[in-house]
Amino acid sequence: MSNTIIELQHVYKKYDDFTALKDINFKLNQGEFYTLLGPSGCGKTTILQTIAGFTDATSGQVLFDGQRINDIPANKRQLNTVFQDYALFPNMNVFENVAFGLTLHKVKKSEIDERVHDALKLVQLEKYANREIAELSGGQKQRIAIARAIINRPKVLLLDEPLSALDAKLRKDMQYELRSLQQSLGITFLFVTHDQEEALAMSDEIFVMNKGQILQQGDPVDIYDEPINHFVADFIGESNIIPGHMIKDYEVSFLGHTFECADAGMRPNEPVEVVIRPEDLVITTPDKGKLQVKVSTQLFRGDYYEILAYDDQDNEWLIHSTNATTDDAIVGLSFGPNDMHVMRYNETEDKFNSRLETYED
Amino acid sequence: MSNQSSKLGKLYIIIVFALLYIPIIYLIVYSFSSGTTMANFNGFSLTHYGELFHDNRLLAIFLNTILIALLSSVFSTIIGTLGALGVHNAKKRHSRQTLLSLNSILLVSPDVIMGASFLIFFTSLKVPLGFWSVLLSHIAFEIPIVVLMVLPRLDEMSPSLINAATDLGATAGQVLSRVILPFIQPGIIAGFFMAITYSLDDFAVTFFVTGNGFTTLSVEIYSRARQGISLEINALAGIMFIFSLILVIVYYFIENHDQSTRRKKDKLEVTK
Amino acid sequence: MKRSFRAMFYTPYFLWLALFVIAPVGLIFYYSFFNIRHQFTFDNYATFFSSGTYLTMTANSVLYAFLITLISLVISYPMALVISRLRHRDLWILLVILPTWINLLLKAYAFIGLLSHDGLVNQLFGLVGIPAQHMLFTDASFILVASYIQIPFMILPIYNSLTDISDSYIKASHDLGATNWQTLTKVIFPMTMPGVKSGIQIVFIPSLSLFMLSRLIGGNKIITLGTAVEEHFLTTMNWGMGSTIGVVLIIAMVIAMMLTNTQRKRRRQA
Repeated sequence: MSNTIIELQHVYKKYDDFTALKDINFKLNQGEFYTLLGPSGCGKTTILQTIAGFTDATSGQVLFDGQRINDIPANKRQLNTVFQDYALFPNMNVFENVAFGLTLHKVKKSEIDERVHDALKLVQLEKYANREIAELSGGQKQRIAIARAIINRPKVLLLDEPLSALDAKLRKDMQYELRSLQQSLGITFLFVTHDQEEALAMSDEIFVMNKGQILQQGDPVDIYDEPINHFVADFIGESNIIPGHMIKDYEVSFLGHTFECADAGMRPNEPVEVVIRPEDLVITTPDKGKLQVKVSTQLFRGDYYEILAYDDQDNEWLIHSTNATTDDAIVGLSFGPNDMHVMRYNETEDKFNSRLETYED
Repeated sequence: MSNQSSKLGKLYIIIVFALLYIPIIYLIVYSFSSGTTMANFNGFSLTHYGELFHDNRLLAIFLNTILIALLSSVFSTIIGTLGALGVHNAKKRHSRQTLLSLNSILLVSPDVIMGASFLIFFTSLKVPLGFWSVLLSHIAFEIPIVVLMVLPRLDEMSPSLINAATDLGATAGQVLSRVILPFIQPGIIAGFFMAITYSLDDFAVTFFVTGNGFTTLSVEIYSRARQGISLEINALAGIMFIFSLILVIVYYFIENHDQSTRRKKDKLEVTK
Repeated sequence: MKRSFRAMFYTPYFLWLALFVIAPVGLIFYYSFFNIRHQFTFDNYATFFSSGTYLTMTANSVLYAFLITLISLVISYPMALVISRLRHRDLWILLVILPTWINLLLKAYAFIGLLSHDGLVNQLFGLVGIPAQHMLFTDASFILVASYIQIPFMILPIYNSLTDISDSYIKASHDLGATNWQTLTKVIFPMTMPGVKSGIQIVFIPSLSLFMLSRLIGGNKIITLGTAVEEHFLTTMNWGMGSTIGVVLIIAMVIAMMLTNTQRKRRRQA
């Protein structure tokens, strides 16, 4: 049995001289938390709007529960949206906002009261029913927007950067809340964000997008550890990306040295890029290190030091270390085979996945 | 500003304010004079107000004026609001600009041009000059100001508000009646008030397009003033002044009410 | 929204645009090519540009409008500046707006009384020993009354542009060592130019055509473009010539707008 709730097949969105979406294909399962992650203008909100029905796909199919919904207007689609600016109606109070979807459909007054109360309880604002929207804080507005969106019991909730207007602390809290809300409702969330931390923290599955295309799909750990290309590696987390050559399977060379690595399935001597995450680099004495770098600047980040260093070919190295080091010192960097991830140039996601299958278990 | 120049500044504005208000006060003071000219104040009397209230012709004109103002404002508010929605929904920047320029032609053009062109227009369509031509003209020159009062509210409205309503299942009609209209309501009311004052204020256009049988207060004042001083006009000025004051107060009450709720909201945004 | 629903919605507005904006302007241009016997002709334009009377009248109109605009500007700028610095400036600006709500003809009528041979102004002159003047029906009185009527409309846009200037610009200017006068001329004045321009536009264009004022205050001595249009349309019934003068007026208006290119809104609220 398939539990696919939403499927996009070859979806394109073209404007006069601009293609916003290029051949988007994906399936969303019931009850999972998905994130569309990418820089602004990458098309992630366009995908959301295509699914919600605020904009039409130029070509391709949008399926909901197996049915094509391209031609169904937004107000007849059984999914709801939480908007970036919350879009709470300023002329209505909290109760009226949450009840809006029900009052459109001649639902009995007693049932409205009950369901609004339940929805407000779910977002822990049951005492705020009679407040005006203008009297709410940003976090409260956020929750009311969620309560309003789930009142019609949608099978899918679309969230368009809902946390971007909140301050850092509140945003972290809301990440936990959204995740647990999704689990208790058991419905599919499709979350749009440009914040990679948010995406990594909450999602079951992430789609990384750039320039109207989905570059990589996978669970947060896979995406972080095995980015498909330079863009993904750079966009998700911080990384040191060094050009090199694949000598043979499990052996890569860069900066004039050859290292043992964990990647395979490439042509001998193929030019590649090697990713090493800053937290995987360990500072040691110059003679013990696999590479020697000169420390340039260090910034104290609270839970770690962020150290900027340069090797003798002037490549920049970012290192996260729990201990401080000395400015202008020459230090060694050590890292293991599993700390390196080798990326081929222009590899498609399909090829990347099948290559990985040949040597991973 | 230094102390001295601020004193000088205050003196200056007092003089200008005095000059601004002297003619108006002068006019109203003489409405209470028992004499017949605006030269010598002959003691307090309400004679001219009495004359005014017994002048059936003038009362009929007064009612005409109010009728035209209210009717034209209602129609221009409806059409102007629809127009603002049209301008707002214009997809391309270019077509929006064109619509706005066309919209402001009547606001910019001199009254005589408007009056003369409407006169040609009505005559070529064989619309009889009188109540209907005046009403249509007033509706016509009030529409653009309504559009200009409503449009900023529409532009202020986040497009996601409409998407949100649609998303929750509202039809186009429900979106309009339950979300858009309540949101732009202050603009509509302001537009309605501006339309009323434009109508009451107008002289030139009415003067061109009215026939022999139909007159508004402005036209009547003009023809009487051309004949010289009549303190009955002063009494009329007194009454119209009170009327304007009431309009101003109502208008500012509505405006400030709207602004204070918005300000409250802003404050909360800041303290958030 | 469905297409048909939309169309039904916007129809009244587009009808208005077509019937009351585009058609009348078109008709004025069309009529300017017809003589009083409804024959197609360029004579109206030929007459206009060869007749000394029409050309002087045009020059006079522009001169009057220029003087009215200049006087209003000179009085209004300091006024707006002082009011914008006052503590209860909203209230004071309301006092500026209030006279604009009073019918223009009543204000003109007040001046008939004020400026008449034994009116208030001459009585005041009498007190200081100046003999009574004939002030009504002179160029000066026309310009005076027109300026009086236009001043609030000049103050408002200037005031708005003044209040739009953030206080930190003025502080920055002082901080950098500018005197009050330097701050005014080098910071405040350039920043209020849009307001000044729209004020000029708001005042200049209507001043070209204040026919009721020139009739009531200027007597029949002052003939402006506005009076001429009115006379041709309502008295001599020579609509062709009236339209031709109208076209000239429209051209003058377009030039004025291009010189002061900001949108004109004769709005009363501050």
